[in-house]
This record gives sequence, C-alpha cells and structure tokens, in this order.
Amino acid sequence: MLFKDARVTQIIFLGLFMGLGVGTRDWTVQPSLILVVVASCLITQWLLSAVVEYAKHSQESSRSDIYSKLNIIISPKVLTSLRSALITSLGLSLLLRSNTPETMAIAGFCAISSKFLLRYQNKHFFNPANFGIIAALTLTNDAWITPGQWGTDWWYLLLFLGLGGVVLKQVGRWDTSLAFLLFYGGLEAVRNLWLGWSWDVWQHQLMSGSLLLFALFMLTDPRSIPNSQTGRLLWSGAIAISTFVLQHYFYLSTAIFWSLFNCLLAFSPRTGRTN
Amino acid sequence: MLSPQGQVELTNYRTVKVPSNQEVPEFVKQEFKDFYSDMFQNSYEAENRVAFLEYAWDMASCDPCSAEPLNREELLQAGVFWLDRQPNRWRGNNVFITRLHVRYSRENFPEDLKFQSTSDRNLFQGRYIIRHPFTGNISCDAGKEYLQSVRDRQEHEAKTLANLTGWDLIQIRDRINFVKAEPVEWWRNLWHR
Repeated sequence: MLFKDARVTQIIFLGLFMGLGVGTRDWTVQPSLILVVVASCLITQWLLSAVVEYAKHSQESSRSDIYSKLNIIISPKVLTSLRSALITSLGLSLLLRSNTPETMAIAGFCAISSKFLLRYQNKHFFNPANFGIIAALTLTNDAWITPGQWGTDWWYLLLFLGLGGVVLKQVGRWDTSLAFLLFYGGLEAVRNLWLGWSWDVWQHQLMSGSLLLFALFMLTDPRSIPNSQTGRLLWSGAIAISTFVLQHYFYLSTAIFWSLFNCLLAFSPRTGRTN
Repeated sequence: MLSPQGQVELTNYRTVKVPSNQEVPEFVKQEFKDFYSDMFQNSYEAENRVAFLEYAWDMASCDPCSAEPLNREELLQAGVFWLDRQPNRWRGNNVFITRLHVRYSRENFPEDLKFQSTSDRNLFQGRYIIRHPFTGNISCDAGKEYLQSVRDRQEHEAKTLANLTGWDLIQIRDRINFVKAEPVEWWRNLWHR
C-alpha cells in the first residue's frame, strides 16, 4: 500500500507544514523559488539514478539493445526514488530562504548529488537537505535561514510531536529524536540554572517550532545516521553538544544545521561499519 | 537596525509584517496617528509573542521616500563603521535599514530578543492608500457607473478600516462622505462588462 512507505507519509506531512507556514505564519515564500528547488531536486535525482541504473545494467548484461536502455529511465526503481527527492525539496523549501532562483537550484542540485557522490555501501555521508542548506549558505551570499519562523505556540508543538511520532514509528528512529531533545534540553537547563534564569526561559527555548521540526524530521533520516542504537544515542549527544556550543559561544543562529553537518562528517565513516 | 546585508529579524521569536497595501477612507488622513496606533494595537492583540516589521528598505534609493534617507554623517553617528569609504555613484551606500516594532514585556517574552541579519533584500513598508473621488458634475452614463463603483469602494474601505483598527463600522460609515450614486440598471452592466 502507498501509505506503508514512510516517504509518502513524510511528503504529505511536509506539504501540510508548507501550507500552514505560508497560510498562517506570515512567511514570505516565493512560489517560483519553491518550483525551482523542487524541479532541481527531481531532475538531479532522475538523471543520477538513471545513470547508476544504467551502469549496473551494462555490467550485468552485454546486450545493448536500445529499448532496454530507454526503459531504465522510466523503470519503477528510478521513478520511486523521486519520492525521496521530493522530501528533500520540501525540506529545503521549508527551511532555506533566498532572493534568487540560482541559489535554490544550487541547493537542490548539491543536496541530491551528495547522495550519489558521497556514499558508502548503502549509507549517505550527509543528510541531503542539510547538505543543500550548508552548500547554499557557504557557496552563495544570498541564502539564509529563519529559525524563528514557527514561533513557540502550543498548537504547533503538538502538531509536530504528533505527526513526527507517526513518521518515526514507521522508520523506527524515535530514539534518536528523543535522545537529542533530552541531551539538548539538559544542556540548556544547566545553562539556565547557571545564569539564574527562571524556567519559562527554558520552556521557551525548547518550544521552538524549528527545533522540533529539525529533531523530528531532519535528524532521523535512516540513510545517514548510525544503524546501531548505541551509535545513534552517542551521535544525538554529539549533535546536541555541538549545537549548544555553536549557538551560545559562537552565536551562530544556524547552529543545528552546522552541527548535523559536522557530526555527519565526523561519524559517517563509522556508520557503514555499525551495520 | 542598519545592516550591510539585508533585513534584520528575530531568531527566537517570529517577525511579522504590519498590515500593508490597504485602501482606507479619506478621513483617515486627518487622524493617521490614531489610525496607526489602533491598527498596531489590534495586530498586537491578534498575534502572540512577535516583533512587527514596519519598514525594510535599501538606503541607497527610495522613490517616493517615506522619510529623508540618513546621510553619511548620520549613518556614521549611528555606528555604521562599515560604511563604504567611496559611495558608489549608482548604488549609493551599502546600508539596508529595518524598522522593527516590539512591545516587550517580561510575561510575553521570557527569553531576551536575539537578532540576526539576513540576506533578504525584499523591500517592505506599511502602505495605506487613500483615493479621492472626482467631485465635479457628472452627467454621462459612464459617470453613473463610476459613482456606483466609488460607492462600492467606499463601503469596502469602511469594512477594511473596521477590520484593521477594531473601530465601530457604523461610526466609520457616518464619517465617510459617500458619493450619491443612482443605481445603474442591471442590464447596463451586462453589456459593459
């Protein structure tokens, strides 16, 4: 069934968030830029997965009939892989902002290419949307992230927790989100105590819609995180510490994205081995 | 806020634009101050924990300008130490200005505000449009239709104003000089539209 694929559930939920953000949160999202990022992700995915399939095909059989070659580009395997590209493009549209279509195209292209070029066995070195965001932030000078875009309302907190729970149950990675939130919440609590602030400050920090969306939907991509549970817990802890340090000592508002990027960089050679 | 990059926004609360591009009745011109403060109060009550964006513009150029742009001395005085030494003749200076309006209280904003400068160079201003109807004699058929359209517009403006400020609609209607429009026969509209 279509809904058994966690990717379909994720596409529906991310689409819903996009609609809510534009409709109720006063986002200035340009529809043309969303189209650009979706097109850039889908085209890159389609071309690169067709190339990979073609390479496999020519290794397996020496028959070089033109029809079987052409069939590759519309084969179910290539076409269903577009689902994950759509997730990446929705993730980028939700998070990344820019003034120009070129920047969005670069983000989409880099995000998807990273899956094909930077991989080990069945694992990706980077979370594609995260890689696209970092690429756009470093390679162009007109990309930005708006961490405050969701605000801190209860309504969104419950919505993200509920829908995030559904996806995480399907992919079996709820431990990662929970561990990250506990580690990060713990660090913020210690800092809060140290500064002598009241607990509503801490509550405000943890109710950030962007933080929850990150923890529930971006951190948990099974393709780029460790397979063993211990590995995942250590990994979540490392991201929480890195986010905390970058945010409070280097005043980086994009701390969570840089942390995920750095931790993937540091841990990725190990993720394959934890199989 | 002055930045070489673009708009400034909050990172730990939402930044929301004040209502803009709205057509309001003519009498608002005389009481713009009350209009703006009531409109702001109304928006403030509707939103929870946000900063309002009132103005965002490239200081290199504005036409028409809502106020005289800051000159070089004023910018330096405001702390713009990164101002271009040699202002570009075509692009003016490299400053982008953002005006945020926050009603900041301990209960509503537990954590201190954190700001960030973004590359967002979209221009924004709160814009309230007043249209003055023609008041001379009108005798032709097209004029009748014009008067009818003005009347519809005035009614629409009254509702917009009530929505924006929370003022009483009946009192607003009393203050509008509605044009006298004879109803246009319905079949005329069939042929003209």
